[in-house]
Amino acid sequence: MKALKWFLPIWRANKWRMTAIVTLGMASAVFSNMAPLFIRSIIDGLRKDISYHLIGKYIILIIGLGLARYAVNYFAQINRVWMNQHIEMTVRSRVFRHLMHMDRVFFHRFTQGDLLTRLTDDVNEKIAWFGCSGVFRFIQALWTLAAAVSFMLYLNPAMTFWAMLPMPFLFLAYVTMGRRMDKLYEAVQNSITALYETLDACFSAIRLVKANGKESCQSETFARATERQKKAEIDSVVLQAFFSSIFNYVGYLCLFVVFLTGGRMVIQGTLTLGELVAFMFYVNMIIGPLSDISYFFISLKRAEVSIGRMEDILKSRSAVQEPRVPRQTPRAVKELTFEDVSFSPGPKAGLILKHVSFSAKAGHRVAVVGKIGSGKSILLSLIPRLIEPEGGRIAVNGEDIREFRLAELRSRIGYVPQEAVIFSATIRQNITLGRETSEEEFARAMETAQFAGEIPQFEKGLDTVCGPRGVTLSGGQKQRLAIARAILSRPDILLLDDCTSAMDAQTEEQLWNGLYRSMPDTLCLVSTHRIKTIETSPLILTLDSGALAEAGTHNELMARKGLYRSIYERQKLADEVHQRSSSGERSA
Amino acid sequence: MRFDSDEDSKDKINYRKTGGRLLKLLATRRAEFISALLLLSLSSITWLANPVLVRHMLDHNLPQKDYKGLITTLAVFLVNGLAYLFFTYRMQVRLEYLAQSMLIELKQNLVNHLLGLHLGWFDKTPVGKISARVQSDTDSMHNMFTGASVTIIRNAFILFGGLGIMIAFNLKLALVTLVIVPPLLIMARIFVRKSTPRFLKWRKVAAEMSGFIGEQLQGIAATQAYNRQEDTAGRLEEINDRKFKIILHAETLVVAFFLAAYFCEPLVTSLILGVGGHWAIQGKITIGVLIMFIMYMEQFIDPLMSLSEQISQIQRSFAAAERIFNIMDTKPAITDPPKPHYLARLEHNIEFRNVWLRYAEEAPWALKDVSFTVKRGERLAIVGETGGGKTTVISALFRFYPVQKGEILFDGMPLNNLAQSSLRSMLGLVQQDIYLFPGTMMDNLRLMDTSIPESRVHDAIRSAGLDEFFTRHALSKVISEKGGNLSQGERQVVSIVRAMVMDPPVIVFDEATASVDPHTERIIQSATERLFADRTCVVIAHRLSTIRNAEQILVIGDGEIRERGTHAGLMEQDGIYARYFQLQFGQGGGAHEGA
Repeated sequence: MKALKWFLPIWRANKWRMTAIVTLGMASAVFSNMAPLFIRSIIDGLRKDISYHLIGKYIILIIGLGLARYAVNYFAQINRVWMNQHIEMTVRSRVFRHLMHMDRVFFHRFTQGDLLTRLTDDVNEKIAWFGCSGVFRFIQALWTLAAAVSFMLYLNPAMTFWAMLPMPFLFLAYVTMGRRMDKLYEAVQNSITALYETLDACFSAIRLVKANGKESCQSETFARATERQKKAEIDSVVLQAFFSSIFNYVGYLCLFVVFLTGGRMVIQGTLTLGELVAFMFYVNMIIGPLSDISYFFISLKRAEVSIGRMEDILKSRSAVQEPRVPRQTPRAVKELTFEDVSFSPGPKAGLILKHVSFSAKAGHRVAVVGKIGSGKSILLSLIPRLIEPEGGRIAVNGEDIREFRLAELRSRIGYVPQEAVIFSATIRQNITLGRETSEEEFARAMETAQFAGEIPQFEKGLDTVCGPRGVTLSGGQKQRLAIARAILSRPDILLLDDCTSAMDAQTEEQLWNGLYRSMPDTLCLVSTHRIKTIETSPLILTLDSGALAEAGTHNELMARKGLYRSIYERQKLADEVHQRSSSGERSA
Repeated sequence: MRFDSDEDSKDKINYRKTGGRLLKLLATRRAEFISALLLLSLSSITWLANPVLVRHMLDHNLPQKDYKGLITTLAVFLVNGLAYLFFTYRMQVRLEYLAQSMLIELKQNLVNHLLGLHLGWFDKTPVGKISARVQSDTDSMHNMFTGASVTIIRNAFILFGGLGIMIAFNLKLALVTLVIVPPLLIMARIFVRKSTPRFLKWRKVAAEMSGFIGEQLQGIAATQAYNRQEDTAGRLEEINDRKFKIILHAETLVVAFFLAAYFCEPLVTSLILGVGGHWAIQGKITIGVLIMFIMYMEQFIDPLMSLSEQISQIQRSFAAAERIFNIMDTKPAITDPPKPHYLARLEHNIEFRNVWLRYAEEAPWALKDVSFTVKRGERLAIVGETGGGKTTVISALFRFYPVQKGEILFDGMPLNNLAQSSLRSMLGLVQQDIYLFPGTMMDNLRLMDTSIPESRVHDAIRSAGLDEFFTRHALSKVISEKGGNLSQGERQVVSIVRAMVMDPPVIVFDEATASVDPHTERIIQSATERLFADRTCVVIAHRLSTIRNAEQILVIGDGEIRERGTHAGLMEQDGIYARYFQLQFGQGGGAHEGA
């Protein structure tokens, strides 16, 4: 019953609505069970010379009850729908909000597709529906059952016993079948997932398949996978058909028992014809609630699984935490230091950043170089505290950055990741991201980021919408937008993770000139391959497999004839070759 | 959650044409279809018999105090009930088999057709969409076959059958009860008209929600770096709120409609008991008949109401079928010539003669006047910067894309005259992007071709000198999730062994550029050399050893051949190749590294 406990707070918060649902449910149960009584009266009356007038009265009562039932059910259901949606909204909001504060390690543990499924499917179908309709239809079914049994007892206790006799078996059958149904249902889902995997693999690799002429093999593989789905679905349908037969069979059996014993009693005179007919109606009325009651146990199980999946997320903690007693963030950043900083992505993984120490001053540019996977991006991500170091500390003006309020720290940092993030919004909104800014500042950021020149080519200029339903920016444009975004609020620390790859050398030079002009005191950390940028940086950090191999100025490092030198020379040659082969030497 | 066909097609559905094609699927299964139909009718008939039996009991057995008669009637009732259940069960199972059989045929045909399409088509179609066509579109048709269409037929049976029986017993009362039908149908029609736009809105907002969440999950780094968490959460709530209102708006209509339809039940009962009761007092009709009428009418309401839902289900299925048939109608652009030639092996050479290729009419030329010859047993190494045309040479060689000008010749035979199967068995491809299929390592090594005996795979492993490697990596290891559990090095090894297993006379090899640890690097190099031995090789090369040992080297840039020759000759020229070589391998000629 863990699932029910989980919903309690939401129910309690809406207690008036829930009370209405329960009360309306009770009323509906009573109303729907009264009609057979009137039918009984009419039938018995017909055997004894009833007047038109009296029939008319009963008719009005039946119609009246029908209307009352309509009204009551309408409000009950509308409220249930309202509650279902409310639960859906509340749960989704809560989980999403929690997600917003998780660190990168969390997002490696849960894939995006998985999280999306949890926030949509699990919430919609399994949790939200169950949270109100699932539980309260069950309760209403109990009321209906109780009302029906009460009325039947009122009519004839002995008949009631006979009529209800097969019911427990029905209930049991439903529950056991239900469990098996779940298993078969799961098998169907798995077979469908496998099919999608097969299709995905086959058509992603279509070039390879065609090149080797293995089309027929893929066809056979697919045939096997569909065979599996077919089998699973047939098994499922067979059980379902069998089960619904049993279900209907018990209904038949009940009627048979009622007619047999009741018929006998009518013949003997201990039961009227009308009462027999009434019992027939009651038996038909009970089948529905019984199925609702049994379905409750099945959907309970499914809801529990989904709730577990939500709790998985809600119970996760981010490694990045707010300080208990935050310190005042310094007015200006004078120095950034890394003291023996290490990072590990998980308890079983090793260190991918190892004992890095360096110190940088305001107004300086620090170039970070190294092979792919040497830890450059990690180093940069640690500064805005997108991830937490395993060991060591990062300090601004001598104070550990963990002591500052997270939001304040981040507002002083401009971060441009390797893959620029573009949201479905206008270009302007993508740059401001909701921050208040003046027109001058905005224009300045656009100019400096070398992005202003790109705007005229868009029909609506800055109000052009980006994203799947709008324009797709080129790689270079995305990078410049991200840079404009970063420098908009004049950050104290600017982090650029290999974001000038789509710029030519001249544009990049203009970028740096602009940055120096408008933000001379900003501390920049740049991960880059650009020779010119690296050469002219006051501090160069050379990373090798997560460790800081060399640090110093260009001249110092060249003199050492170590890793930096080889990287530098290689890059220089690459630049030359590219220039050469793309500019000259066209064959005659 | 599946990549569902959220394409609300605005195109009109050609029911006749699509229906005709679907019927063809049924044509080969006439026997099963007829037996299903038979079971359906039997199921309906037995169902219809019940109220008649009850009527008999109420009008004859009980008033006449005939206990024996009662038992007989009830015995028939029970048997009839069992028969009903039996026929219904058999019908459902039979239908499922039938539907599955049809769908599998459809799916298989679709997949086979897709496998025959040219690469140009695949360039334009994302894999997700293909999967949706094959799987979720056929699934939606499944509902139509076993659900909607059957239900409609069955309901029609019961409606008309029941009506017939009612008329037989009392025409006047039957006509009276029919009064309820027009209002119900009108109500259903109004419901469909009003609810469709609301449901459309619902689907749209649901898609918006998914899109928003997906996008935010991807951009979480930026959101956190710029302190937009609260803001973003607020925007989710805004969408949530909108969704809430839209759903409520739609559901209110649904609830109102369905409850109104259920209100018909007491209404009809009152009608029958009122008017019928009137006549019963006059002795014109019996109680049993009244009850019988009520029993039939109760069962008519559901079918009439769900008619609209079933019709829209059928609409969706037809739309899905049309999408599938559209693909079936797409013809492959690259086909065998009418009288294809077959080459068992390469005797002399492969020649590119003044080849010009571009991927589309308006696209720039990807290959410009490319000419070269590869002799049998020779190794040709192709080098150049990314996007310069190296991969295009391979695409042309495999006839993945047509050549616009010039010719490609195998032993003097033009490529276009060769049967594709012959071409593909003569050429083997080892790509940079290594694709893995769900299955075991063994299966992957033989490219899922179970006709290749395992011994051949073992031989290939031995020839490549990779015995030790595969003792550490079991052949029975199951590859998961597109090979997420394999490292770069392991993947490269897999692709080399695959080529060994296929054992083609000509190897086309696109060397991987990703770096691996020195040990694996050595194993791969050695295996690659063994693969190249005694074969004609066209290699897009990145490794020093591969290039050095090539009989011919082509430097391709911007679609043209810039330089050609042997390694020594090109170094002497001191051109692009010489610079490139220096850059990649430095003075010492060690393994390459990126900057």
